[in-house]
Order: sequence, then C-alpha cells, then structure tokens
Amino acid sequence: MKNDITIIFLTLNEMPAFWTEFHKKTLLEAAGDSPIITISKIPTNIGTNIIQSEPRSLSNIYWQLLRGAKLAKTQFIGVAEDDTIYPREHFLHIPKSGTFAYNMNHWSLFLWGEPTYSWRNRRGNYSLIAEREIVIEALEERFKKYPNGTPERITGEMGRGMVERNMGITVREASEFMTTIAIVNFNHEFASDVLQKSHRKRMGMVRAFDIPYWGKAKDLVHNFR
Amino acid sequence: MGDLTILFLTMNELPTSWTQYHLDVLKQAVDNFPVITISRIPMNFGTNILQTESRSHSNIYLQMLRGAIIAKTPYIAIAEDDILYHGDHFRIKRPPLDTFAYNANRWSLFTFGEPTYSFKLRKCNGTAILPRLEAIEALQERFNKVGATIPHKLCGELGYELVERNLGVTVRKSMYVYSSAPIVQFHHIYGTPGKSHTMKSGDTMDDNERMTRKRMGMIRAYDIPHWGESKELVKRFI
Repeated sequence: MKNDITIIFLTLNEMPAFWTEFHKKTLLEAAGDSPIITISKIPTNIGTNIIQSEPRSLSNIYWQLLRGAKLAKTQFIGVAEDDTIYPREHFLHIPKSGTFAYNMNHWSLFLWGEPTYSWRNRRGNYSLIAEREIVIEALEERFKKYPNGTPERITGEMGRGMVERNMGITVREASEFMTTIAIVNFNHEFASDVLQKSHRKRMGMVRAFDIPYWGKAKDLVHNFR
Repeated sequence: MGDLTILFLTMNELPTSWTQYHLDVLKQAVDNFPVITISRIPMNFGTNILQTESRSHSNIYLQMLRGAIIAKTPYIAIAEDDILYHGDHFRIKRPPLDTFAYNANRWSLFTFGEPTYSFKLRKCNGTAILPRLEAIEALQERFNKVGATIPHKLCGELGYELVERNLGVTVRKSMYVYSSAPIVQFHHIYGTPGKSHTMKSGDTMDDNERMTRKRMGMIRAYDIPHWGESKELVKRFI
C-alpha cells in the first residue's frame, strides 16, 4: 500500500547521536516507499536533502516547510520532525480534501520527570498531512503578509483558527484523524519552545506508562541520548 | 468541600466480587461527600432509595432526576457501578452553575478481548459533575416534552448538543474538565441493551454478541497512573 505523499523531514541536526540514528531507522520504516525531502542544517543522507541556513525560529519551520512543499511532486505532503516518531500507517492517511489533517493519536513524552506518556487535545504541526497545493497557498499567504518572518508569539499550525485570525490571514479548514498506533512526540531541552527548554511545560492530564507498539515510557526514553 | 452530592446508580446486577471491590474503591473516593444510592435492592451506603422501574436508558435519567431532587447541595456527581473513581474526580473544580461538566480523563477497559485501556474524548454520564438545579430543570424539561419514557435513540447526556436538538429541548452548556488521576469505565455484558439505536435488518438479537462488538478508542495504553496494568485491573471484574 502506498500513498501519493512526500515526507518533509525538518531537522536542525542538534539531536543526540544515538537518538538521531534511532529516529532515522523509525522514520525510514514509517516512510516505506514514499519519497522524503530532508531539510537540514548540515548535509543529511535521508532522501533528497536540501540545506537550511536561516536562523532558528518558529517562523523558519514554516518557511522550510514551504520550500519542501514546492520541491515535492506528490499530491500530499506529510511533516516529519526530528523529535517525533511515526508509525507507517500515519503516512498512509489520505486527508479530507481541502483540509489540513492532524493525527490526534499523539503522545507527548517528556525527558524530564517520571517517564510518562501524556495526551492533550491539541493539533501539532508534527502530525500534519495535507494536499501540497493548499500548504503552498497557506504558507505563501503568510509570508506575503510577513516577508521578514511571522511573529514568534502568534506563529502556529495551519488550520488553527486562533493562529490564523491573530495573523490576519485566511482561516483554513482543518480535520482530525487517528491512527491505531500512536505518534510519539518527545519534549526536550533542544526544542525551540522555551517551556520545554526550561522544563516548565506541563503534561496533558491523560497519561500512560505503557502503550501499544512503542512500549514502556521508561524504556523508550533511553533512546534519546 | 460539602458542595456536592454523589448519586450512585446501580441495578445490583454486576458480579459479586466486583461489586465489593467497586464499593470499597468508591467509598475511598467519596471521602466526606454525601451519597445517595439509588439501587434495585436495599444497600447500606449513604441515603438509599430504591428503583423499581424497568431497565432502560430513560430510567437512568429518571433516577438521576429523583436523586437530584432529594440532594441539597449545589452540585451533584453521577457514580455508576461499572466505573472506578478516584477522589480527584469528586474534588474537581466546579463548573459554572449553568454548565454541565464531564471529566474527560476517563479510560475505558473492555472485559473482553486483549485487556487494553482506551480513550475517547466523549461526554459520558458517569463522569458528570452537574449543577443540581440546572440538572433538575433540564431533566424535567425532557420528561415534560417527551413523556415518562424517553426512547433509547433520543437518550443522552445533559448538555450534549445533538441529543438536546433531537429531543427539541433547550440546548444547555457543557464543558470538559480533567481530574489529575483518571477514572476507569469498564465495558461488559451486563450493560443496558440499546437495540433500538443501532438495530439493522438481519442484525443479531444476541445481547452478549452486541455488547462485545463495541470498538475501542484509538488512544490506547496497557499501564496508566494510579490504576496500573490493564491485564491486572480487568481481573477485578469477576
């Protein structure tokens, strides 16, 4: 089974070495035969590689996503981030046409405190799948309005009403889906998010210690080194 | 906090060992809150009143109304006999007096299939923290509108927009809240059958078969805080 999708893998190459290898292995398994465009700070041998040299910022994430979307040839694109691990079925999802689809079966795993999976009812860019054309359209609108980059405090996911209203741009339609196996998003000190860096970010209230496929939180966190 | 009365609803039909375990857990969670137990057979837990009406989803709401009228506190919480509660649930921050709250930190545990906790973000009656007077008004409005028995397909949680629109009654406010420790709802073959809701031509009439084909939520776990491993907890349901 194959989806007409390109995976746009974003990395600043700042993750620990063991994790980088572990993440690469899981990403390649999840991608299957789907093409990958890796947008990295230093040359990285995963799929088609292009280099990003812009300063680190939330706005830059979306700028790089726009570059990747323009380069891709497929009907859909899926975002892959370097602190998130994906099951194969995630990239097989076909989103509802015209919508920015977010996989809501996503656990956060914090690298501080007791290793615990936690869930929040929130859409994350790392779980996005959408038609390539609407991604380009939405991001071009953002950067046309903010040619020097979108303001950090109001930058966020496409299809999130509050974000797009605050930016004064078109509010676009989002949709949600769930895979049977979850995505796991690691929260760590290498992140752009200040709350993660300072370990002040709070877990979601729905929590677990052991989940299907990925196993026990206390074991999985050992891969982040 | 003496502002909440717990309405414990039971048909006294669940397995013996489970019933005792559930009661022990519930008593610990209840702490000093007043309890009204509405049961089929007499029970020595809080103020006890008996229900003699036929088993149905409509009856659940009728018993809630009876309990809410007897209670004296600004809020009521529903406790069901197949849900394990933690004290955090009853201490949860109260909603405004015109808003029904549902604790979203609820795991489901099926007593059939591989023991797995599963999660769906859904308003569930057994997780309700309700402003008492608003609940009485809403329930009376339903029974005044539809009659003494509400058809199964029209039954549903207070503040559930689709349900209230279908009933043609006031659409009331509701919200999700999250307790710090979760509650666990068991799914089993002793539940109230709901044939009229999903019955299709040629569908099975076997209640057990119908009750064991429910699908789990996609967010799943084998081990959760406070309650531990699903394969161990499910053994309590005997």
